[in-house]
Amino acid sequence: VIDSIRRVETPEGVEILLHLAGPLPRAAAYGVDVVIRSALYLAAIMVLSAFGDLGEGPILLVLFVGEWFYPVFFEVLASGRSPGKRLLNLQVLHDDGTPIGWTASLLRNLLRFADFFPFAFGAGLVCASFHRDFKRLGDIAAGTVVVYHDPLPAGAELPLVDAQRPPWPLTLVEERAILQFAERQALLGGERAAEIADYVMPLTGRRGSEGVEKLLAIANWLVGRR
Amino acid sequence: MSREAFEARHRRQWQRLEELVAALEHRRFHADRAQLPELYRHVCHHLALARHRLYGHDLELALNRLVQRAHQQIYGPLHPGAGAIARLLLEEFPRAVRRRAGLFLVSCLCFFGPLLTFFALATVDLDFIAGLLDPATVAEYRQMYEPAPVEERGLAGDLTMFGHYIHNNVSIALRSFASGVFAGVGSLFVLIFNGCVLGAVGGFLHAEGLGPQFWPFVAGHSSFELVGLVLAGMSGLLLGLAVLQPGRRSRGLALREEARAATPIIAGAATLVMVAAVIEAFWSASALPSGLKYLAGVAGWFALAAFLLLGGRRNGS
Repeated sequence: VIDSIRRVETPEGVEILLHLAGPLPRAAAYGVDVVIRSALYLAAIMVLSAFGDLGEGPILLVLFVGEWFYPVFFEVLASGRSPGKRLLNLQVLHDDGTPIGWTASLLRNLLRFADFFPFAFGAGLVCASFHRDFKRLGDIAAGTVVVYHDPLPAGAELPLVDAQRPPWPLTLVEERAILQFAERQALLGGERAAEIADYVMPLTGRRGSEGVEKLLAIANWLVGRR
Repeated sequence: MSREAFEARHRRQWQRLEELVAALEHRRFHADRAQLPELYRHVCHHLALARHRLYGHDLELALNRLVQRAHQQIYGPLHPGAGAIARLLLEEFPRAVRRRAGLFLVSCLCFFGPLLTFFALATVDLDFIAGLLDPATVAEYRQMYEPAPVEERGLAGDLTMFGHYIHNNVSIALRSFASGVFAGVGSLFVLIFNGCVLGAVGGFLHAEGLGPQFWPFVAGHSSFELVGLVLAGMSGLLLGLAVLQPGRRSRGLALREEARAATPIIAGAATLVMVAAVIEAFWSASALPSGLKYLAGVAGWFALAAFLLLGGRRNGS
């Protein structure tokens, strides 16, 4: 199945689902960070240039630290989120879903230089576009993923209709598919929903919108509204 | 059990965990903090049940989110103290270099080979080297090292040069590491190119007869800066080798493992270049007698060699 979810098993034996973020929101977050970083540089330069010649060296040090380590501080000390990532609801985590530590953060941000090559994150974009988890080179080397901090809101709630027992026992996968369809059918639009419902005509015995109604009824039965 | 009954029965626990996690996320005190693992395990169980019993996507998402947030609080990063950083730089760093001694020698060859070649070329054919270098740069170097009484440039000047050395040289080292991921080509280029330039400049100044000013200046920081650059290149080559020669691992896994192994080396290399920047800014340009500067330079080379050979050894290792 192709989807943007990464499954991680915790030591407690339960799976957590991480909702991976693609290159676009990440590029936007980077843009925000560039603006914020430039503002910080400007502020530092204004303050330090008040010291005349004595301020020149410290200005260069600020530029050096900002260039390489600005994301590291935020990733490790502000739970994986630079200001740009915070604004775009993104977060960096280890592959196993734990918060990112110093080593991984340093690696992924040092390798940002390679991802930027030859310009405008060319290598990183190519790499992320082909990678199952949208990882740029730095993410592969560091073992990190970028995920949505709060997953996108789920579709509409399951509409309340009179429950009906399915004509025969269903497998867990089938039940899950029916439930997800029922939760999302409002977002799909009537015709598309009917088209999808037609695929399970043997189950519903009906066509078109009546098939959709029947699936909703079965879904209500599945969640225990009997 | 219906979803409604399930929620009614466990909602209280979910709220408690939610409050506790929110407090921990904002680093606030919470009286129940000792109960975090227990609550977390319960809610993990609820998530598994909700999934198995198909209580609905929205409930699964909400519980998944709660479990994930609690998971983050329990398995948070360890913040290394000064001790861990010292161990990384003083023990793991030399050990990691010795473990890949062959690669270190190759990196040395890629850097010192071109350096010595171009130095030798300059002593044989000065015009050839002068033709390679940019005329403006040549003029600048001539003026920089012309025989004149050394003037102390004061604290502001020292500090500016210090910022300049850090900003330039440490960035070169870090870039050399990162660009190694392209099959090692980036690191090789940085090693060979810098070897050529430094050899050419050094040879040119020596052949021009400006040695008496040039050598005392570079003696003090030469060991740390040159070896730091070589080690940065070596750490990049480790990344390149992982991509070229992953062995029985996937390339992704090889890159991840070798990057971890290269971490102490690039951290140590960057530190060496920083040390070099301190020496270069506050010692090398001072008006101290040349003899003393030569002595310090030689001492630096011996100290660094001893550190890389002996640092981090335990009994029997």
